[in-house]
Amino acid sequence: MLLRIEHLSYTYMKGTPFEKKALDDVSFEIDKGDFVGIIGHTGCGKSTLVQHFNGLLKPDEGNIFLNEQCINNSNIKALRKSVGFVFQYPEHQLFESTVYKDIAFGLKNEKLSKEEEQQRVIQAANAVGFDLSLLENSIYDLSGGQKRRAAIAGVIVMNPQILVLDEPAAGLDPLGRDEILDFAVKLRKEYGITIILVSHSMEDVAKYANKVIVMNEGKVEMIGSPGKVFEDEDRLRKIGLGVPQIATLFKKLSVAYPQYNIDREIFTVEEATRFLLRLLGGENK
Amino acid sequence: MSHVHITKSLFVFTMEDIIKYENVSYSYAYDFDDEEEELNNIQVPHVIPFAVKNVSFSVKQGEFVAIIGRNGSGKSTLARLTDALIFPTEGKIYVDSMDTSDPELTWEVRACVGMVFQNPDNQIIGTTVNDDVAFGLENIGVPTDEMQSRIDEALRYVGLEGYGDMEPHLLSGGQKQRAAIAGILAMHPKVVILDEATAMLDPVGRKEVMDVVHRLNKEENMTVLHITHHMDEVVNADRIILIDNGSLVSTGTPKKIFSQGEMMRKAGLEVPQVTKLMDNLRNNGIDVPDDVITVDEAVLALEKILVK
Amino acid sequence: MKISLGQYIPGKTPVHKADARTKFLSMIAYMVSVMLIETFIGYGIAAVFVLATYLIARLPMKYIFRSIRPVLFIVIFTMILNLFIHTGHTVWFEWKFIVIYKESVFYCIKIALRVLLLVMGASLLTYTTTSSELTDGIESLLSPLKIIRFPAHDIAMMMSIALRFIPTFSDELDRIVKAQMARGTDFDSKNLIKKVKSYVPVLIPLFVSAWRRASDLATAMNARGYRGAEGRTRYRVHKFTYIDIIMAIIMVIFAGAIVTLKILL
Repeated sequence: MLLRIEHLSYTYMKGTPFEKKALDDVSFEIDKGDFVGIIGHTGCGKSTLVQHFNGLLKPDEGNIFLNEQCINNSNIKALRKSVGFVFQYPEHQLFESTVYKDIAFGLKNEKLSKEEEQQRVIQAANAVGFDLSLLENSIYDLSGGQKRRAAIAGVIVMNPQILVLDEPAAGLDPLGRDEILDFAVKLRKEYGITIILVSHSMEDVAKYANKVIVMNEGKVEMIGSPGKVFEDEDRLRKIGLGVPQIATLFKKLSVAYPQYNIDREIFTVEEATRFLLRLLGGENK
Repeated sequence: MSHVHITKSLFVFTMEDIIKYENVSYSYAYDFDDEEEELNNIQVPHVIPFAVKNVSFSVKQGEFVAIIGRNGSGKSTLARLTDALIFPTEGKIYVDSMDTSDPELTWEVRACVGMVFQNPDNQIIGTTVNDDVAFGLENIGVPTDEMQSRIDEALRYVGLEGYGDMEPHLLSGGQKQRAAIAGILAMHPKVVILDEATAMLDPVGRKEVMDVVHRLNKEENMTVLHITHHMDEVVNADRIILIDNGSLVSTGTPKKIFSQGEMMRKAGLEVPQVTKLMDNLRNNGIDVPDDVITVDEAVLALEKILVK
Repeated sequence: MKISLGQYIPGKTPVHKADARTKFLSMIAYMVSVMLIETFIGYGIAAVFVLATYLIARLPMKYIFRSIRPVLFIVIFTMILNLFIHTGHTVWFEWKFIVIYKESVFYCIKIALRVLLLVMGASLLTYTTTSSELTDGIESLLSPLKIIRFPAHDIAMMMSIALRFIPTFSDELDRIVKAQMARGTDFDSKNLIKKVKSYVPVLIPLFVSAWRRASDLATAMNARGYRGAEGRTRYRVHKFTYIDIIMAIIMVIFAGAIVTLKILL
C-alpha cells in the first residue's frame, strides 16, 4: 500500500460565513505503480483532496499514510520530495532566466555536484520529451507545449515516488494532450512512478487510468476500474460527468443484443475494435 | 454596396454573406502590438511566418460555423481579424458588407461582432455582473434609461437572471462565460465569435455555454463562429472550417470533415471515437459507412451488420 | 478560495443610499475634523457621531471591531512606546528608571483615539459603498479637472479594474505559492535574506501573469468597443437626493462643532 487515505475531512475558511466543507469523510487506497484518475466537476473537492497528499493542506480530520507512515506529523520537506505536484497551467510558475535553471530549481536543497545536477536535469527533460537543445534558452522563448514540458520536468527532477498531475492537458489540443499524457505513462512504466491524474475529461482518464475515483460534493461517489465506473452511466451523468462514446455505444448494444453477450466494460476504441472484429468475424464465417 | 471582383475566389458574393474573406494573409511581423499568441507553436523570431495564408471563405447570415485546428494553426488570428482587432496584411475581409481594413468602420465592425475569449477572468471588466454587461453598452453610447432593460434581457437569455448584483469572481467558469455572452448580446451584435471560449471549462460549463450558443443560433438566427479543439462541440455545427499552419485545409459539414480521418490526423486533431471505430472496422473489411459521428449513428450502422 | 471584494455590507439605510460623492467628501471632512481635535470632549463628540452613523447604517458592532483589528497592534505598540518616551510635569508613577507622567498617559490615549476614530470613519465608507459606486463617485468628483486635461475617466477606470482584479490575483498568488512550495521553496525560513529570496519564484510569475492578463483585458475591452471616455454613456447615474442634503448639513454641524470647540478651548 503506497498511499492510504482514512476518513479525511477538510473545511475551507472554518468559522467564517464563507465556510465550505470541501472534503467529507474520504477514504481510499492507492497501490505502488497505479495510474489513478481522480475525476469530478469543478468544486467537487478533487483539487483539495490531492493538495493533502504532499502537505499543502492539513486535514481537519482523518489521516493520510504514505508507505504506512502517517504524514500528518512527518517531515514536510521529505514528503514534498516523495510526492511531486504539477499544478494546472504549470508553465505559469516558471521564473528562472533559463530552462535549465528552472528545471534544476527543485534540486537546490539537495547539495548535488554540478555533474549530478546536470544528469538529473537532462534525465527529467528527456522523460517529458523536452528538446535538450532548448535547455539554455529563456523560458519566454518557448512554445506553449515546450513550456509545459519544462515545468513538468521541474517537478519530476526531484525523483518523486508519486506524481500528481492537476489537469495537465488543460488548453492543449488533442495532439499536445496525448503527448503530455503519454509521458505520464512512460514515467510509470520506466521509473515505476505512481501517477495521480486529476481531470474532468472522462476520455483521458479512460485511456490511461487503471483505477478511477469519482468525486462529488466532497465525497467519493464511485471507485473502481474504469470499465466498472463507466458502466453506471446514469449515475455519472447525474453528477455532470460524461462517459466516453464507446462506453455508451457498448451499453446500448448490450441492451439491444443480449444474445451476443456484449462486454459492457469496454470503453476504448482499441478494445471495441478487437471485440467487434472477433464478434463480426465469427458471424461472417 | 461595392461589389468586389476577385478572379481567384472560389466563392460567389451573395447578399446573405455576413462574413467574407478574400485571399486574406496576415503576419504578426507587421503588427508588433499583437505579437504574442497564447500557446502559439510558432516561434523562431528570425523568419516571422504568416499566421494566416491566403484564406478565402464566406459565412452566411445565421450559419453556425466551427473553426478547428491545432494550437498555433492560426484560428485565433482569424477571430481577431474578423473582429477588426487586427487587420489583414493582404486581402480583404468584409463583415456585414463593411471592409474591416477601413479605419472609419473599425468601431462599427466591433459593434457588429461580439467576441468571447478563452480566459473568463481576463475579459470581465465590471465589479458586478450588471456593471460588466453594461460596459459594452456604455461604450457604444446606449442611453442610460435603456440599459437596465437590455441588461436584464441579456442575462435572462443566458440563464443568469438574478445574478446582476453578484461579483463576477464568485461565479463558476461556465457562468462567467455566459455573463461574457450576455455582455455582447446586450450590444445586439450580428455575429458571435467564441475564441476557444470553452477551453478552460469543465464539461458542465462547456455544456452550459454550448446550449446558450446553439439556442442563439436557432432562435435568433445569430451567426456563430465557434473556435475550438473539442470535437464533440462541433458535430452539431452547420459547417466546419479546418485550418492548419495558417491555411484553410478543408471546409464542409461535420460528416464530410470527420470522414477524412487521415486529413484530421495530419492537422493534429482527432475524430470522434465512434468515427475512429468505424474506420478501424472498415479497414478490416467490414462494410460500415464512413460518416458516422454520433453514438446513435454508430448503433444504427452496427445494427445493420449484427442483425444479419 | 474566494475572498470578498472590498468590505461592502449590503443594506438599504440612508447611509447606504446616500451618493458616493457625498459620502466621500463627508469622510474627508470628518477626517480633517478628527485631526483637529485636541480635547477629550472633542473625541467624545466624534465618537458619538461615528457610533451613531454605524447605528443608522444598521451595521452590527462587530464590524467596528473588525475595522480596527488590523491597526490594533500598531496602536497599542505606539501607545506603550509613547508612554515611556513622552515627558511631562506631573509624575504619576516611578520605579527605578521608569517614569510615567500624567501628560504622557493623556497624550497616548488621544493618539490612540485619533487613529481608531479615523479607521472607524474610513471603514464606514467602504462598508456602505460598493467599489463601483466609489470609483464612479471619484471620477465624478475629479471631472472638473478635465478642463486642465486631467484624465479623470482613465484614472477611475484603472481604479475599478484594479479592484476587480484583486480577488483574481489573490487566487493566483495562492496557487503560485503552493506550486513553488511543492517544488521545495521554503517560505518559513528564519533567515531574512533567504525569506525575501524565497519570494522571487512567486513574484516573477505573478508579474508575468499580470502582464498577460492586462494584455488579454485590453483586447477584450477593445473588442467590446472601448475607446476611452469619448462618446460614452453611463450605466450608473447618481443623483443627489434629500438624503445627501441632510448628510451635508449634519457634516457641516459636526465640523462646525469641532472647530468651535478648538477655538473656545
